[in-house]
Amino acid sequence: MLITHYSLTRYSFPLYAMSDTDRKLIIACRRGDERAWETLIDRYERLVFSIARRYGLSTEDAADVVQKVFVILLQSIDRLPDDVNLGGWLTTVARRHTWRALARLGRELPGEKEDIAESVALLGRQSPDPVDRWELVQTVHDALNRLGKRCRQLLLALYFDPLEPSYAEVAGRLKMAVGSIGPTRARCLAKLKALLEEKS
Amino acid sequence: MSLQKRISFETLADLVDGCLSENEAAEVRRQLADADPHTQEDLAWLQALASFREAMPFEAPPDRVRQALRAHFRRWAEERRGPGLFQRLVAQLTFDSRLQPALVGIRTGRAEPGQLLYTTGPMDIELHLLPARPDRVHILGQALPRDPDLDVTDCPVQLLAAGQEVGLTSTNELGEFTFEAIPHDDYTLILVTEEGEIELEHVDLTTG
Repeated sequence: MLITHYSLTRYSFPLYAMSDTDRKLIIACRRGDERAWETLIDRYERLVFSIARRYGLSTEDAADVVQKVFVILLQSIDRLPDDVNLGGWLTTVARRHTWRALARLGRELPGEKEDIAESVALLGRQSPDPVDRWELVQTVHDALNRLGKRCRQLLLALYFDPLEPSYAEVAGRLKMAVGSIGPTRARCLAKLKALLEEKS
Repeated sequence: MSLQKRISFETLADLVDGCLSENEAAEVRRQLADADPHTQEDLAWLQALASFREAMPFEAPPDRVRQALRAHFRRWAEERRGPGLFQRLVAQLTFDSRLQPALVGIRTGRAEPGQLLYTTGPMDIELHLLPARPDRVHILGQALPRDPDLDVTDCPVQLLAAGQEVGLTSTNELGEFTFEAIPHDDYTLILVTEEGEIELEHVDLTTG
C-alpha cells in the first residue's frame, strides 16, 4: 500500500539552532584551525552543491557556487550569531548565488511557483512556500550530519552517491563485510527516522 | 478478526530499495495488507525518503573545490581578513526620510511613503517604502553604482528576517527591484554583484 502524503518529518519549523558541533567548529575556524574548516566543509559542501545542481547548474558552475558560498562564510565568520542555524544560513547564501549564476549564464530564473516545486512530491508535504521546502532539505541534511560517522558514510554512499555504487563497492570503500551492509543500513535508517521525528 | 502483523524495518528497507527477489517482494506486499500501523508508517517513511533522495541527491562537489577552499583558508588564516577577490560590505544608512520633521501645515491621517538611502564604497542603494495593506509595505529599491561601468543588471536581491529568507528577486537593467506586501519587521537585505555582496542591516519597514 502506498501512502502518498507522508512527511519525512512531522514537526513544524523552525529548524535546529546552530548545533554545539557547528558552534565549536566556527570558534575553532576563527582561531585559524584548518581541521575545523575541513570538517565544516565536510558537513555542508554536499548541501550547498546539491542546491546549485538542483537549479540545473552544471557541475562546474555548481562547484563555483560552493566555492563562493564558503568564501563568504569565512568572510562572515566573525559576525555569525551564536544561535545561527548554519545549514539555513548556507542554504540562503547558496540560493542567491545560484540565482546569480543563472542570470550570468542567461538562464531563466525560476518563478516563485516553479522554484523547487517538485519537492512537494518528494517530501509529501503540501506547503506552497518554496522557502519552507528548502528548510525541509536542510532538516534532512542536518539529521544526516547528526548521525554517527559510520552511519552517515554508509547512507551517503548507498543513497546519495550519483555513481550508485554496488553493495560490494560500498563495503570495500568503508571496509565492511558485504553481508553486514543490509542490516547496518536498516539500523542507520531507523536512527535517521528517529532523529527526524524527535521534534515531532 | 485477524491479528495485525509487524514487518521488520530491515525487510521494508529491502523492499523499498529493490533488494528482494520478485517472489520475496510479492510475499512482503501480501503481508502488508495485514500489517500493523507501525509497519505502514515505517513503509511510508522509507518511501518518502526514497522520493527525497531521487529529487535531492546530496552529491559532493569536485575535489578542486576542496583544494581551493583549503588554500583560501590558509591565506585567510595568515592574513586574517586580508583583501579577497570577493568582498562583503555592510552599507550604512545615510538618509531616512521618516526622521525628517513634517512640513508645517501639512496634516495627514494615513501612512506616508518612506525613503531610505544606504551607502557603501561602490554604490548607494535607495529604498522607497510604499504603504500597502495594513502593516505591510511594498519595497521599491534601486542600486545606484558610482562607477557607471559597474553592471547591476540581474543582481539577486534577498530579503531576510532573523536569518531566514523572506523573499528573493533580482534587479532589472536599471538596477531596480521590488518586494511586494512585506509585513513590518526588522529585515536584512543583501544585493549580490559580480564583485561582492552588499548587506543592508536592520531595514525597518515601518512607514511614517
